[in-house]
Amino acid sequence: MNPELVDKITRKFPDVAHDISLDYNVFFAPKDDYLRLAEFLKSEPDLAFDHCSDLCGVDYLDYLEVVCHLYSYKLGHHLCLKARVTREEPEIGSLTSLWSTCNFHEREAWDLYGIVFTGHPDLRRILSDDDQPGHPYRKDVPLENDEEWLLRDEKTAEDYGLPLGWERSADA
Amino acid sequence: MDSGAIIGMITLKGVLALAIGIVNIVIFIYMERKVIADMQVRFGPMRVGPHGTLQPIADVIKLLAKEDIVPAAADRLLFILAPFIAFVPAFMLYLTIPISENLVVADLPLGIFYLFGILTVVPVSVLIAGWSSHSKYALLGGLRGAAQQISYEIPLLASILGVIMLTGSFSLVDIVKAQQVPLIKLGAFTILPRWFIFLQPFGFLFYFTAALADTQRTPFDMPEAESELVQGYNTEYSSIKFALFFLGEYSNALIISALSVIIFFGGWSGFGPIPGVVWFFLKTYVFVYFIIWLRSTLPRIRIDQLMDMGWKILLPLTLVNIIVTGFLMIGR
Amino acid sequence: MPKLKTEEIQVNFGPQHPSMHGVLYLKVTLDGEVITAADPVIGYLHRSMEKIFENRTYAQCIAIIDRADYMSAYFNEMAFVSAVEKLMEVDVPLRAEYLRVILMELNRIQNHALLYGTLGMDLGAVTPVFYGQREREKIFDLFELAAGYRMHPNYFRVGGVKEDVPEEFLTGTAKFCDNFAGWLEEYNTLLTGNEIFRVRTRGVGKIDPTWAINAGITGPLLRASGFKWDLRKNDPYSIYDQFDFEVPVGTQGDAFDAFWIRMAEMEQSLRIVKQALSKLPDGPIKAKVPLNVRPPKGEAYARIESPRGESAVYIVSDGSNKPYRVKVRAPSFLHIGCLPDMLRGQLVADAIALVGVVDIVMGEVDR
Repeated sequence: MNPELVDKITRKFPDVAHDISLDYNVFFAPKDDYLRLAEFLKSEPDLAFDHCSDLCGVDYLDYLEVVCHLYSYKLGHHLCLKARVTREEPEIGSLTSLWSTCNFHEREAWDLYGIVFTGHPDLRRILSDDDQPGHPYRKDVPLENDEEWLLRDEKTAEDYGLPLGWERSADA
Repeated sequence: MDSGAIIGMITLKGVLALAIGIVNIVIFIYMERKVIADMQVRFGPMRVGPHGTLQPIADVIKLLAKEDIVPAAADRLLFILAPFIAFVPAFMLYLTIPISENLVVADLPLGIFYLFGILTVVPVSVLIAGWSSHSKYALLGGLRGAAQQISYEIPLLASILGVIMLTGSFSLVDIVKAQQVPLIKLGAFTILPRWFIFLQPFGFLFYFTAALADTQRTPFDMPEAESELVQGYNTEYSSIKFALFFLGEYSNALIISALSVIIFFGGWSGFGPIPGVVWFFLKTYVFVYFIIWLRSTLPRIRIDQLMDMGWKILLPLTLVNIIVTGFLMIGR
Repeated sequence: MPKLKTEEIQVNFGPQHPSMHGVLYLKVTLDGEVITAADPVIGYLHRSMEKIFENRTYAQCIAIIDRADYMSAYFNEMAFVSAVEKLMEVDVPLRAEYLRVILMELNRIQNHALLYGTLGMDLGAVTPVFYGQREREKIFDLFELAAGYRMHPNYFRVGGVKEDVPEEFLTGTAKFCDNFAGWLEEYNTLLTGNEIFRVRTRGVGKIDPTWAINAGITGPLLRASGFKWDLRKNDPYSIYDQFDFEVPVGTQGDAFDAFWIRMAEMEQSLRIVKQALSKLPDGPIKAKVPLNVRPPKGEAYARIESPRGESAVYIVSDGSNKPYRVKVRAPSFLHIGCLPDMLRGQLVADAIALVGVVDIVMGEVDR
C-alpha cells in the first residue's frame, strides 16, 4: 500500500496510530473510530477494501486485541486493522454489516476470547459447548486441573437444561 | 379330483412359486453385489463361500440375528404391520408369472389387472411405514414414496395398454403366445419374431421407465435417498422387518424384469433345442443386469423433477402411444 | 389458488447423517421439501488447535496443523511455514520450493478427486467415489515415498523440507502424470457428462460474485461465480509465478460450475506438476535454520490458495521458541457461515448437493 494512502487515512482519523509490520501496514483504531474507519476503508474508492480475510482476537494479558486483515481484490493491497479493548469491558462494534463474513469470525472471537461485538446479529458460542464456562483461549485460563473445570463434570442433567429424570429414562 | 387334492395342488404350486421367487431374489442380490463391485473396480464379497456365493445367506442370517427394535414413539401395530404389507403382495405377484407355457400357478384371464392391482398395495406399506415410525426422515421418505408410486402407476399401466390392444387379452400366457408367431419370414426361416418390442418400442421405453420409478430403483430411488433421508421410510426398521422390506423391493425389481420379458420380449419363446424356461430366465437376467448397471452409474433425480417427468411427460406420451396404436390397428 | 397451509418441520442433518461431510450439524427447517432456514452447528471436532500451538515449539506445530484440513495437509503446512519464514526472513532453497509445489499440486488433485467421489455419492451415484479413491491411493503412495506418511506428512520445515525425495518418487510422479489424463477422461464420462447430473446441478445454488466477496467466499466457489481470482496468479507466493497454467472460471456460479472448476483445476495442477518435475533443480533442500526456531518478535500473515479457498495463518511471535498466538483462517469455516444464505429456498436434495459442492472439511472448520 503506498504511503499517500496511509497519509490519507491518518489525516482523516488523527487518533488512529500507524505502524508497519513486515509486509503490511497496521492501523490501531481507538474504540470509537474503529467502525467509522472500517467503513471508510471499505467505501473509499482508492482504498476499496472489499475482502475481509481474517478477524481474530489476541490476548496480550493487559488488554485484548481485535486483529482484522483486510484485502482489496480491486487494488490488491493489504492492511491490518487493530483495536484494543480492556479485559474488564471487552466491547467493540461489529463489522458484520460491512463484511458479512465477519459474522462467523466475530462469533469465534467472542466464544474464545470473550470480546463482545455490539450490533452483531447472532452472537452465540460457535466452537465450544453452549455451557462452557469462560472463554478458553484467554491466556489466564489454566490449562489443566482447574477447580471450575473439575466441578463442571459433577454437574447434573438439570444444569445442562435437560429435563428431570433424563438419566433414569436413558437406563430404562 | 376331490377338493382336498385341488387345494393341495394349489398350495404346492404356491409354495413352489414362493421358493422360485426367493431363490431368484438371492441370486439377484448376489449378482447385484458382484456386478456393482466389478463396475467399481473392486471384488465385492469374496469370503463367504467360493467367490462369496453364500454372502446373501450370511446377510439374511445377520439380519435375522439382529435386535428387532420398535421405537418407543412408534405406532406399534402399524409399525409391525407395514413390512408384511410390503412383503406379502410382492410374493403374490409370482402366482401369475408364466415361466413357461405350463409352469404357471394361475393363468388368470385378467392377469395384468391382478398384477397391477397388487402393485398398488405397495405404496400403502411405504406410507404406513413412514408414518408409524414417528421419525421425520421416515415420514418424508414415506410421503415421497407414496407420491412417486401413485403417480407412476398410471403411466405404467397405460404404457402396456398398447400391447393389450394388440393381443386382445389380459392374460399373460396369451400375451406370450401372441408373440410366438413370426413377424418377418424368409421361407420357413423366422428372421424376426413378433415380439412386442418391435411393434411397441416406445411402449417398452415408457414401461421400463415407469416400472423403475414404481419400484424405486435408481435413478428413481427417491424414498430411500440415503444422502438426504438416511434410509427413507425404513430408517427405523431393523432385523426381520427390514429384511422383509428389502426382500419385497428386490422382488418387485425382479417382477418388472420378468414382466418386460413376458410382455415385450416373447416370454419363454426362443430358438434351438434350449427349453423355454432357460430362455425366460436368461432374458430376465439380462434385464436384472441392466437394472444393476443403471444403479451403479446414474445419480438420483430430484423429487420434483421426478414428479414433473411422471405427470407432464410420461403420462401424455403413453396416452399418445395408445391413440397411435389404436389408429394403426384400425388402419390395418 | 389459495396456498395450502402447511406446518414447518425441523429436521436435523448431522452430526451423524450418512451424507453430511464429517460432523457438520445442520438444523434445517423444512416447509414441505423446501428449506426455509438452516443453522449450522459446528464444534464437534474442536481440538483447540490454536491454543495447543501456544504451548508447542514451531516444529511441533507443523505436525499438529496437518490435522486441521486433513484432506490437504500440505497446504496447512505451507501456510504455517511461510508465515514463520516471513517472520524470520528466510530464503528457501529453490529445490525445496519445487518439491513443495509438486507435493501441493498432487495434494490438490487428491483433494478434488475426493470431492468428485463424494459429490457423486451425495447425488446418488455410487460409483464415482471408487474411481476417485483409486487415484487418491496412488497419490498417497507418492506421499509415502516423499514424507513417510500418507495423510499427515509433517514434511515441510521452516526454511525447506524435511529430507530429499527418493528417486522412486520422481519416477512415480512422472508415471502418475502420464496416466492421470486418461483417468480424468474417465471421470468426465462417468459424471460430468451425465444428463441427470447436469439436471441436478445446473442452476442450483447460484452465487453472485459481489455477494460472494462480501461473504468471504474464496477459492473454487468464488471462481465459479465468475470472479477470476487465484492467489497463485494474482498474489504469487512461493515460485508459482514461474509456471504456466490457467485459472478456470465459471460463468453461472451454480453447483455445476463449482464442480466443473474442480475438474479443470485437476488438469491445471497436473500441468504444474509436469513443469515442476522437468525443471526440478539440484541443490540443498533446507536453508540454514535450526529445527527449534526462535523467530524475532513481531507478527506475520501468510495466505495461500488451498483447494478449498484462501487458507491463511496469522502468527504473533514474542521471540521465544513457541508462538504467542496462531490464527488459522479456514476457508470452509467461512463457507459454512454462508450456508444459511445459500440454502434458503432450496430443496432438500439440492441442499445436500450444495453442501457437497462447497467441499467442507470439519477438521479445518473446528480446528
